[in-house]
Amino acid sequence: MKCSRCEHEAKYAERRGGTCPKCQGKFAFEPRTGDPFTDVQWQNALDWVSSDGAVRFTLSQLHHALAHRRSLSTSSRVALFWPLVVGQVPPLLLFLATESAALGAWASALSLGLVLLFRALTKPSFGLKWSREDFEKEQKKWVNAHGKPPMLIVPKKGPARPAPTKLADELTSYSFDRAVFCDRPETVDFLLANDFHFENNCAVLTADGYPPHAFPTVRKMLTQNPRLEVFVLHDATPLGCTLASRLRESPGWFGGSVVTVTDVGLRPVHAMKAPSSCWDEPDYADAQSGLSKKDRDFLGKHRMELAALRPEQLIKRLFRAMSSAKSDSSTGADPTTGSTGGTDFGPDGDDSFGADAESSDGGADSFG
Amino acid sequence: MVERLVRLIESDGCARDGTTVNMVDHLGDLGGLDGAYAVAWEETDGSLHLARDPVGARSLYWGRANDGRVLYSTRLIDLLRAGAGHSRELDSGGLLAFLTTAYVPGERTLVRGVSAVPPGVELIFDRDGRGPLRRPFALMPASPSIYESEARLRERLRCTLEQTVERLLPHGPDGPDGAVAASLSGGIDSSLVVALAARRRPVHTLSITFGPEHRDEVEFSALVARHCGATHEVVVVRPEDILTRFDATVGALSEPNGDPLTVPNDLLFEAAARSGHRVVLNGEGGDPCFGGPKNAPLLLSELYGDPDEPFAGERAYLRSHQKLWDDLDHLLEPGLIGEAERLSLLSIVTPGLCDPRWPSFLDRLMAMNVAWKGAGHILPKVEHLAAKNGVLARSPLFDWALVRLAFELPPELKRSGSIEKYLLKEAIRDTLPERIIERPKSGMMVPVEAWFQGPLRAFARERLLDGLAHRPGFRRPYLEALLDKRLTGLRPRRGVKIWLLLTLESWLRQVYDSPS
Repeated sequence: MKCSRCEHEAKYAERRGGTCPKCQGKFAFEPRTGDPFTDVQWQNALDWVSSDGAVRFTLSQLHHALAHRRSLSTSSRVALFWPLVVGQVPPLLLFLATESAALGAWASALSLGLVLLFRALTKPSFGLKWSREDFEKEQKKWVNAHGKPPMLIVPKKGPARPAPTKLADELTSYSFDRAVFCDRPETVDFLLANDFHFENNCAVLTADGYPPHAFPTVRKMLTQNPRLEVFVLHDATPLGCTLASRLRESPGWFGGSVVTVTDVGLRPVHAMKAPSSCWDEPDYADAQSGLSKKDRDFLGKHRMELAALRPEQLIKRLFRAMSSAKSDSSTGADPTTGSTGGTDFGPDGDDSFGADAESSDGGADSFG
Repeated sequence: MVERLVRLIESDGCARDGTTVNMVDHLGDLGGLDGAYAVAWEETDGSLHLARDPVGARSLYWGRANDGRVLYSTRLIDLLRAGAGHSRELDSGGLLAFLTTAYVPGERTLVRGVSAVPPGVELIFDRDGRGPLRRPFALMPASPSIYESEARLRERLRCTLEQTVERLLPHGPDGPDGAVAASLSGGIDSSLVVALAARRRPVHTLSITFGPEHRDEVEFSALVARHCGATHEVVVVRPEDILTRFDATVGALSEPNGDPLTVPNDLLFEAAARSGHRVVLNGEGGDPCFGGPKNAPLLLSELYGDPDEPFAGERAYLRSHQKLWDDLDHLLEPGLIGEAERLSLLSIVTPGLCDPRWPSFLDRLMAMNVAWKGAGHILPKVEHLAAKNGVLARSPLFDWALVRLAFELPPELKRSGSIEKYLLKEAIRDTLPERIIERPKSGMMVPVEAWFQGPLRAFARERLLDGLAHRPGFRRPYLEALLDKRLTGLRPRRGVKIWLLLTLESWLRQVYDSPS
């Protein structure tokens, strides 16, 4: 097994004390005793989820990244390895009986084709198979050996102190161009930790009062911009999928105003494309919620969290949704067309984002 | 009583009533002057006095020769050539500031032993060269506690705008047909200067484009020029212009300035000079003085930040420059700039963010922006690039009279809701098309990202990998990742970072490698 610190290939006998013989660093895992990962595999997942140390991430996002890898390796072993091995037995027997290499090769190819056809026709099963409790046990082992991953977001114990009253009073005179409403505090923490608000002149909050130290001021500031653009980012759950319409209709939020509310969250259509990233959990979807029967049926059995997406991908998709809303409004397009959600999510979607080049260009500070 | 004037270095100063003054008569009362100036004089007791206008529209540096004599100049490079500075040693704090902001704010410079004279402060050295003592002669006014009505303030602002533009127009005919030249981006600031100038004189406007393949604001600048009846000239900036002018532009700037607009500005001033103009008006100053968009992220940072986190506001201010603060550990070897230097840079921000003269956070930010970005970045840039081309840059919105008034306006009239520069827009609403007033700020985007992936790629690689990478303290792997588009992160901002490092390399070559 390779050491994730010095890359030394340590044989089992060498690493029995749980340390690398070369760098003396402690190993977190020992696959021979049943651990589901090696240190290098865990480190690779950390590199992936943090985009090589450039993006801060939550524990849930790491959990998803590792659970996805675990289920991939397990399912590929089960679904491909044994059928392939078993599938090659008849051609082998045929070859031994007939001593015809051509016939044996033909039978081998046919067998392989049948296995692949079987895989293509078989519906993938829903549900992540690695519980949070099991993940956290392994995470503790990693932290004991390697320390807290540098880009992991650790929620503060207790709420932050609010801004001084004088500052809060002043801030309520101002507003921002955009606001992102999330359906859970964890998503707010994720966006704030990655400076999404700072980069996009954008408030980030949940509708039910998170983060508590800033929420009262943010709520007042929202009312100062009649042309505010609101984006809603949520899990594929009954509550998440109806958040945009509730904000749009509620008189306490944007009911009766001209504020545009754009849903950029996960919906059943996204979750259906990524069954192995979903949780199997019953939930109740109200018939009056405005969701279609098909969506209600799906959300009654499964849910998909935003944490299933690669953090970098999630933020860049949100950047892109905002850029596209901006260009729609500057070209006079109907801003309400985005209200059903114009962002195509997918855990394995491409990572090329057009808005990036523009943000790299420079010189906006000057020339009057 | 001034008996012996040693040197009047640069003077574009004038009395409050707009009349041109003899600076010699006002050396004891610089606070009563408006305009742009840098002066040095000696009094009867042999003391040397150095002063710069309160906004920093003219530059002035000082340092000591080996024998302890005080030397001064408007250009840092000239001062070094005259022998100032401690063995021309690079100042690590100045370098950190430059990498973080693209300029060096405050009194520090990139060279140890050479300092900038702070705006609005008279430095006094005794006859033996001891000092300096500091005598502030013009302080930024604090916000008044009782405000006039919005309508009266709007009227006052309009009146001051009109008077300032009038005062800064060149005396007598300047260019062909008596037209005055003005740079015009199509944003609100340069547009309002053009509109107010056009009510008094014919105006010749100059805009920049980077070719049809890149986004520009020519549509808006043409609209303003048409609206104001100005003759309009569009200067095309091509990648080959960067290749041929880069070093000369960096050299002319005296202190390095990592803003990608330096070469485009240089071309614009050259075009103005070619048309026979001596003075070019510009719209610099609208953002720092009247509540521009760059304040928004810092307001949000204050709102969401944890007041118990040390240096959170300071860090946000430095990061808002969007340069290399987050990349320092990858760019530099650990020994070059230590934690102490970073803490020192953060500590320089603290007094500005906590200045008790302004109860409003927005005003404190604006005061910092005027002192840092204005005096350290924007004004020296236009000053030196205009001088390179033999013209004089004048920035009405950075004029001391308007800056004073800006700080008397209540903050909620600078940023109202999400409307930036609210009162400034209201004050000149009748002079410009609605489309210009209502359009969001977009800034002049130099297509550095595309250039460094295409036509300027070889230039950047040669300068950074054969040059900067070999200088002590700079890490080659980072420079390679930057050039090869391998920098990770949500917004790598490769183009502006490459430009900034190319500027540094060019400046180091000119100052250290071929100092003659």
